[in-house]
Amino acid sequence: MIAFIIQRVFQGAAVVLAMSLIVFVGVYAIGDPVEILINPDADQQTREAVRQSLGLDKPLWMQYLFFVKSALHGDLGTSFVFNIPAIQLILQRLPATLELALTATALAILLGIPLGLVSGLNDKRWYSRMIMAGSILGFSLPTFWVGLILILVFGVWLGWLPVYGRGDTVRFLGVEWSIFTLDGLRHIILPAFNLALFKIALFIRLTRAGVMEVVNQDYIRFANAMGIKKARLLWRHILKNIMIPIVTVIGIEFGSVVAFAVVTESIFNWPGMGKLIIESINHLDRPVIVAYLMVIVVMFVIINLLVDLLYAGLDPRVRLGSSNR
Amino acid sequence: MSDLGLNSGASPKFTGPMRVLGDRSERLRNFLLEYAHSPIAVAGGGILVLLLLIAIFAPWIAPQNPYDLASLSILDSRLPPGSESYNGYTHWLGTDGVGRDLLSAIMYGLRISLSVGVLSSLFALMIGMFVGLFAAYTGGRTENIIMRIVDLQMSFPAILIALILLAILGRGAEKTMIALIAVQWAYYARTVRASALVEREREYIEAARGQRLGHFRIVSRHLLPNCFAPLLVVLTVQVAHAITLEATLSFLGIGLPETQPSLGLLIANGYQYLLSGSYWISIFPGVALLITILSINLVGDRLRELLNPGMRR
Amino acid sequence: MNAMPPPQPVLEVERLSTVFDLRAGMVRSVNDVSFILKRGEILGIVGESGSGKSVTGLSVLGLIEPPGRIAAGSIRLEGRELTTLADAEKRKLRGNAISMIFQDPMTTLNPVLSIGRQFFEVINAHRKVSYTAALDEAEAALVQVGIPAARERLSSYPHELSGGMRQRVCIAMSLINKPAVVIADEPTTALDVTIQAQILYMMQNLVRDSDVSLIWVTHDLSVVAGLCDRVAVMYAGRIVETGPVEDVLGNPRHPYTRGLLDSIPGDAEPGHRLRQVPGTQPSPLDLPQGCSFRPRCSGAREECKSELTSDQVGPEHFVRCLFKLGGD
Repeated sequence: MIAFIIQRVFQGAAVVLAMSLIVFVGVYAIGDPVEILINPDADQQTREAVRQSLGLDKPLWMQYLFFVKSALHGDLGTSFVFNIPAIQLILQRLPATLELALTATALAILLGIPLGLVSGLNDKRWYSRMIMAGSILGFSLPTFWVGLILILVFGVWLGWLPVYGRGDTVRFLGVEWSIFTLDGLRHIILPAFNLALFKIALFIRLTRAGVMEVVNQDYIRFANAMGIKKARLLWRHILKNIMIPIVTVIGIEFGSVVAFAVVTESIFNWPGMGKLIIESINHLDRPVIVAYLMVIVVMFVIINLLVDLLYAGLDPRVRLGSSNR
Repeated sequence: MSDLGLNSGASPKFTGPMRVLGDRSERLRNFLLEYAHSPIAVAGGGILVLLLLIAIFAPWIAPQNPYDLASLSILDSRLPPGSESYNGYTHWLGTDGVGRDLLSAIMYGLRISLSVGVLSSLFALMIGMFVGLFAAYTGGRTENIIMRIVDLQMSFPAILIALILLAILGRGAEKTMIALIAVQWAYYARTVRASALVEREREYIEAARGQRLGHFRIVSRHLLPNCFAPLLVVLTVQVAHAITLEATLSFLGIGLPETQPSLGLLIANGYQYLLSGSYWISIFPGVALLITILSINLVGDRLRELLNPGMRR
Repeated sequence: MNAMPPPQPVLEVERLSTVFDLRAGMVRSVNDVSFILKRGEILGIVGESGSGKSVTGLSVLGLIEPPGRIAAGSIRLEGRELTTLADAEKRKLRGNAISMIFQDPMTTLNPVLSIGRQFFEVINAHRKVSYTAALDEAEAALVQVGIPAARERLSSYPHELSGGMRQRVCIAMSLINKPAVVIADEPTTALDVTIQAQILYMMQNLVRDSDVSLIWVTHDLSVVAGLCDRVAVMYAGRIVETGPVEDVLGNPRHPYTRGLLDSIPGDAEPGHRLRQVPGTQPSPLDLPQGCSFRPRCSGAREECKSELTSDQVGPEHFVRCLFKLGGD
């Protein structure tokens, strides 16, 4: 177990290092932020001064070494645009994104899994067909367009819910939260639902497929032949089997929700790091881009590690470190 | 998964490529008949064909050339659906912020969206197919390394990879294509390798090796035809993904340039008018995008049912 | 056994018909089947796959689900009619008064629940007991079916046990609530021959030591010969011959039984080719009129197209054939 964790941590570190190289070379080798940052009429001398102050005059490999050294000290450069440390900028925006992503994931679980169960257990019923049709729609609707429709319907036409920003926040555990104020809660409903929609469809399909596979297994027939009650059969014998793959998928999909928050945040002006990265790409604010990508990669590596551990903890057939599966 | 699954159950176990070539037209007919058992899939297929025709013939059937600046008038801007322009023409879907006929803009946008989606998927298919076959055919360490890369890439969401690439490359049509290809190739590689692995163990590949056929011939005549069915399914799914992703990226302003207004860009352009009530500029291109993706997914679902490549998830 | 007074039948199945309504038509999987099972007795039901032997077992347990249904007949367990019971009532009997052992032990146990937990589930479905009390009971049951280190096994998961071990666990589980009847559906088919012999021997002892009655569904006549008291031979949904094992196997009166016996390798003379029953079973959608075995029977005549009855040819020995093979 320990060996497995150590091995995975090293693997993760290798991935992070490789990504840092790719991202750094890519971002710093192409494009010139000076062109954007300073007045086009400025003379060559001013340009050189800015260039030097940003460290852009050094060879690329020196820039990278310097970057890695600083990164290990928690310094990923200073935003060209905001003139504050990039990592600080990202971390400021991180709670808003995490809050949105967690709420969306919770919504997806609470809606997707029960609907999937219902449609999997009563495969042929009309409402199961409706649920499945809904999930196909959920797969086909582009997230950003659904966001527009939500804004149009609930914001513009009905005027029920706010469609801009986070609303009131309250400080809890040192972080600002929207979900603990009524106004903030009203603000998070639409973006969270928007972000959750695709995952709801996904969880419906996964749960349904899992149920339909498990109910036909011999061990369920045997449990049925042993007189175990229907409710217990469902909760203990069926659900535990399908939850193992689903829990791991939830873990993996959480990462994807964080990534897709880029879209939802941009539409709903949610002040998270997703909105920030789009703005930074448009402004060629390289340190922020690099910092965002590094934070995201580290996050993914951690999520994947946690998912692996979770899977091993849930499924007795998986024993980490040994090869028997 | 053998023999493309077209004659499910009825065919014998051993089905080499000879059979596939032998009665192809008959099998195609059977396949289409079977496909037609699902009315909703037929409807999806019909709509898809219609959309493809619109996209191909857009310059000839669109009521207006939306990018001929001479024909535009600022007086016509933001007309609601069904209005008449000042020179007497009816805009059934209204006009956008600069007075473009929205119906025409959508037809042209569809052309751009579909061509970017289909082209990038086909490129990715070729790359993925080559990599997957190469991995399956060489085996051993090379295969291991390639598949590790594939797995690693697939553990990151597509939009993140596209974001990284576009952050590096910047906005532009070719750059968007590169991002879309980079996002997709791994899916094809994994699919091709998976089916090639199954086929690799079959007797007829051994037989072909025994006859000392050239590597190229073994791959192209024996491995490849049997990867066809799962590839077709993945291709439909991926085209839908690529179109959605391109629209998303363009909407965010980091995808296609303003000079190539795909459906995503049309939606983005309408976004600024949404809050002021000119909903149609954003909504109608969105409906067109939705119908496109929905029809592709319906066809893809039916193909998956019929061809059942036995993919995980 | 003959010296004892005739035991009371614990299970009576009368004119049972189980059908499946498929799109292609109605399949009569079990057609007018009657038999009784006495206390402490082992009844073998033999037949080819598709003969309806497994469906008979599932019907008795009330496990037929749509599109299948019990179309006619009666099943009485200790005098109580089962076919008219509500689902909840049937569920109370299953695993309790009547239980089942499945064919493939590798797939019969839930992979994500420990053995002890699965025992608890089966016990707790019918009796309120604490988890630890259930484990004690389970341990005793595992010892009884010959599982070493039974206590430790309770915390194991199915994948940690061998196939033979898992089948012993399944057997112990099916017996844990002291059922009157156990239906075993080819429980040794998936196992190695040596383990099969051990399990057969163990089952015989278990039945002898308790007063459970056993229905052993199998396609293997040699198992029947070694294990069962009585046998029913099924063909295309009907019982074609039934009676005490010595009578039916020693002196078969139905051509199909004869054919089955002739195709056992052990009985053939060395160097001779094995005989087999020519042809295949008829499609269940399109059964021949009259005797279903007629198309494969060398002695078939025109009269075989008429409806048949089951005729008694000896003590408890019945045959459904117009031209019975010549007795002694």
